[in-house]
Amino acid sequence: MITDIIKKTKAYFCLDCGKCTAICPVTRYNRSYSPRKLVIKTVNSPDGNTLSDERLWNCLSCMMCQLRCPSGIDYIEFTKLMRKDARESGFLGQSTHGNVFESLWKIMANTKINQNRLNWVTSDLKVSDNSEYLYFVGCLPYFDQFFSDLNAQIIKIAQSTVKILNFFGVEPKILKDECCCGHDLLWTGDLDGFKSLAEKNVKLLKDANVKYVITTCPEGLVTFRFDYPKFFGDLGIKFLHITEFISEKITSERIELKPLNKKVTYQDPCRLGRYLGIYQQPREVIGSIPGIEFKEMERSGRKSVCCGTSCWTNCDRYSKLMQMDRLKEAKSTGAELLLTACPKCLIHFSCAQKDENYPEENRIKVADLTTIFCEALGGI
Amino acid sequence: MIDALRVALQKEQIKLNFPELSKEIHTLTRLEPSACKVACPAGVDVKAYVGLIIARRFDEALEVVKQTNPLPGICGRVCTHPCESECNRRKVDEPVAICALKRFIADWELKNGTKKSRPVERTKKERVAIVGSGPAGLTCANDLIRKGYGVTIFEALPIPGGMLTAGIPPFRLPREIIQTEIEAITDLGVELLTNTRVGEDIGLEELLEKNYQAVFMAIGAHKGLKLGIPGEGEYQGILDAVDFLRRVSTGDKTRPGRRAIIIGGGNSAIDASRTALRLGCEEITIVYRRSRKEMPAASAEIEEAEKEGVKLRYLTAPGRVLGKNGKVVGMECIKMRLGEPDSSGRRRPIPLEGSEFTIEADVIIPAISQKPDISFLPKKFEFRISKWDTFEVDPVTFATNIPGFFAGGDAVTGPSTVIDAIAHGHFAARSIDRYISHKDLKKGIDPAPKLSEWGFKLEIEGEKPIERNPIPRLPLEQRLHGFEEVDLCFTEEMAVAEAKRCLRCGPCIECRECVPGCSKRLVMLHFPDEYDQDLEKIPEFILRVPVDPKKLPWDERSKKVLLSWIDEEEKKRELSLTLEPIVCYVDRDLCRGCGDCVKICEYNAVELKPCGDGTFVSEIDQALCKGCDTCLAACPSGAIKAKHFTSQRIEKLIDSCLSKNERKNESKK
Amino acid sequence: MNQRSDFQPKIIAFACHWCGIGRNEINPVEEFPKFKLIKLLCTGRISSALLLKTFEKGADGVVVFGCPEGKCHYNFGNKNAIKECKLSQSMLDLLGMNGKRLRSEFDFFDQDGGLDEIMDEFVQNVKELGPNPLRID
Repeated sequence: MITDIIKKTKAYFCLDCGKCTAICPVTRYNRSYSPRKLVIKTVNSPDGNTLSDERLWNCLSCMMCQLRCPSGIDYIEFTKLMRKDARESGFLGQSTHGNVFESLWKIMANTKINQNRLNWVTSDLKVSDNSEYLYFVGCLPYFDQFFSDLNAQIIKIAQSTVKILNFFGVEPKILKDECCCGHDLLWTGDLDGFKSLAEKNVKLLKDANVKYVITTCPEGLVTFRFDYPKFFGDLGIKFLHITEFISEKITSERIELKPLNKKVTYQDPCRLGRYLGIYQQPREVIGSIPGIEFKEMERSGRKSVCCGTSCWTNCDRYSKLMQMDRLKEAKSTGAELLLTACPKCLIHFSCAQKDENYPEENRIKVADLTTIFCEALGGI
Repeated sequence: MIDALRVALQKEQIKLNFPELSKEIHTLTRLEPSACKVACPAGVDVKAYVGLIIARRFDEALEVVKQTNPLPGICGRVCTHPCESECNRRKVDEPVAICALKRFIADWELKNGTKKSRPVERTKKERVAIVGSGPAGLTCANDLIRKGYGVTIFEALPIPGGMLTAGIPPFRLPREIIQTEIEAITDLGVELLTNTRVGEDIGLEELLEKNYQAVFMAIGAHKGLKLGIPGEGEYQGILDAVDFLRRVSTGDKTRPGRRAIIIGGGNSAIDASRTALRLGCEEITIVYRRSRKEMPAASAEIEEAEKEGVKLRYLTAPGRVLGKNGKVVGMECIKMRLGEPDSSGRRRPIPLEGSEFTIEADVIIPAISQKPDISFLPKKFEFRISKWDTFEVDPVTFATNIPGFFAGGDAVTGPSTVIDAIAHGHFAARSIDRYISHKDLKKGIDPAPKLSEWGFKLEIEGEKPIERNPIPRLPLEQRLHGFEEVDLCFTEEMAVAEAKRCLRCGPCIECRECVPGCSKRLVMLHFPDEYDQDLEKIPEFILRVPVDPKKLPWDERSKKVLLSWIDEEEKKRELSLTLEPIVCYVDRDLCRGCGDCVKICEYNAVELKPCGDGTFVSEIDQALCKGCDTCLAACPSGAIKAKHFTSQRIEKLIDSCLSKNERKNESKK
Repeated sequence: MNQRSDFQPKIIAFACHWCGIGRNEINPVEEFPKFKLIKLLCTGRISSALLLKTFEKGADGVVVFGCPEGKCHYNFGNKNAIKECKLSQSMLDLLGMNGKRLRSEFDFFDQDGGLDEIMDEFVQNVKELGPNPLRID
């Protein structure tokens, strides 16, 4: 019921002040989208046609608005719940890549599927079945295959992570049959799909008998920390982002790193920053590498701008504009390398620079933090 | 022929159209119905069933006939086939043997197992009484029972069929054919009471008391006319043709005499002569006062009668009956000559003074004409009756002057044809339906169009003559021993060959393939029920024809061809249709301007256009796009969309493929 | 995977309108004894999304029939199809579904020549692989 959604997300507290719309990165480019209008429209006529409004699918759930809202309206939860109702009423956003990921997830969720996803574990990577640590790789092998033409070396994130963990004396456990955490299905309103994926993961994680789960995907981390307990209770596992792990290790241990003479800047992923408050740790990790010159972008930290698209939905012209502006901003710091801590940011920023018409002066290399840190450790 | 098609077809070249995957669409304009259909009083779709015979889809052909004619086997034998008289093939050589084709499909069904009719669900509480089980009564009953009424037919004779049974000898119309076709109607739920003469066994007024809301009087014309010459009625041995034929039909197979004179030139006279021949009469003379050209009987029948040994004396009129000892011994006749045409258009016979001569005979069978026997009508009903004892009815509604009473068939026209009676049955059924449901009987009904009004111009130049397939007949020596059927049925090959002689006037062969044939339901046709036009409804149809109709003629492909039949109401309106081209288009808001599509397309149909803010949007030139959809598959953001092969559509196809399998497996289990 | 002796693989084939598979021009779907054929205008329409969707819906095997390389009616559609098929095969391998469940044949086929052999072989392969875990019976 939409009235329940309004109650639950406190949408009726809306003061119509418009701060959300003023700060919304989507509205900046796509004038027809306004979080305020969507909320007011829904509150004023809960039986109205908000569900069929395609603008419901334009939200990036970047949480920018929510931090500004004086009434404390849970706008991202509002979007999530509304999308669930919309999907049930047969309305969907425009999914990208022909909706191939949804098919992948649905197949993955099947309990009879035995994945064959560990080809990336090369012989120099040490993994162990008896470990307190588990490295949750998530969708990386699939992204690596699917986006091979982006040359983003996505699987290198996983390989670097294992290398880093090995460096700190951890031989992580790796699951053969883990599947997507279900984040994207959850945020596009497919609760059943999310649950079927999550159930499979929860069983695997419980059986794994580990204390810590390391992820390289902020979306996965958010889902494990906040959403799994809602449905499955506390799993008794501490979920860590790799940057949290590294920053803890480098403050407690003295390590020798190879100097990297690079000017870099850092993109705060929405999930890692605004959702989880992990702003400092990635910067500590970058700062620990000798020779690196770190430049902060104008909009960083809490004010950082999203990479332009989320959940493989509605990746449109406005996303592109947002990405181009963001990349220009990164370039204008004088940096030659844009670091991020989220594989999706990596994919989206690489994709935006793929086409021939992309302005050369704004071209900037994008890389994941782990790969750079791994390079500083002695590299792959 | 080709030119006629060209006029009618407006081919529109559009490079697309999804589900049928064809490159062209065609607009069909149906100029007018074919001459054969207009000529048929019952409006049977002649061209449609002839077309289906070509495709060897005989059961469907029969379906088409049965839509307007519930008695195909009967009409296939005894119809006077006005359709053949108007057939455009006659301008090339001879008309298509339509009647024999109809018989072929009717017999084909008999041979291959008759489909048993199922009772129709009674949806209306009203009941209709039909007096007489001839073709008019049967047709009316058939129409009304299908509309959901309760129907009872009252038949005075012990056998149903009216003049079909009583007047047509079995060697022309075998009894089992009549029986089968009547059964098909009674199986629908029609109650048929034989040996029940209205007026004797049940009064006409009783019908209304017994809760029949309407009465259709199709009593036929069974009363022979008197000769009106001296000696008639004085001697034994004068037997009216209708009485004679009825007596034989009901089982009396005694020889009427050694020598017989039959008076008249109609089918009854010929039937009577050939029946007498089969009963053992040795000398049979038909006396007719005009010449052979004026004879109303079917010429094929006259020929057959002559072959069998019947003597014909033209320009001869009966003068007086000669008798001896109270018995007929002969007839004095007088020779005639032909004068000026009279009101019927035939030349008036004038007696030649002093040309009297005598023909010896034991029996005289007058077959000059019949009139309805209206003695059953109670005095208190003041029906308007003509001087020929026929009912005077409204020519469109077939209503008599007394509300609730309708009449049709020979009872209205005097002796006429089976197909006329069938037409009357339809019209009366329509009126009765309207009468019971309190609708205007006349509203919206046009009198049937006359042929000349259509002015169909068919280019027959260049059509090669093809010989008409002769109707196979029983050899002479096998005929006279009994009442075996003389005309035989076409073989399948003959029927198909004969059907192929059809010139297909107009572009559409009315095969009606398009409706079931189009799996995508793209062809929508409105077939107005000729007898049940709901006139408030505007006929609506869309016609999409993905195959060049000119290619269809008679090859295997004609089975697939989607052609259409267009409602006559719409005959003047040109149908045009717009189909969306098979091209892709770009949702400008969704396009990220990545240029993947531009790289893929080798037709240069996709171009990137700057938006002014640094981004680009691709644009598909619909004139260059060939609709291969490759760019769609490659588009990462889903901005390129197809008009036809949409993802939803393909997913549905996949679903159907996977689910069909299941259904089959289930049925195996 | 549970191997049932009566396992009848559900096989879906995609073909372009031009490569000569299929007998009639009108139906978008045709039934063959061993497989069901869905006809598209060009194999270029095939994306890995579509192929994976077919597996998601429970097909045991998928075949793509297209024109030989360089002979595409649209010049380039089959190049994209070849790429997409390869991508889908690698995704299937990752999923543990085995890329052999997807076969692509880019050649002209006669009604009787070659097609039956290929399909027999493919059906045999799929039988050995067993039913699709997502198959709904």
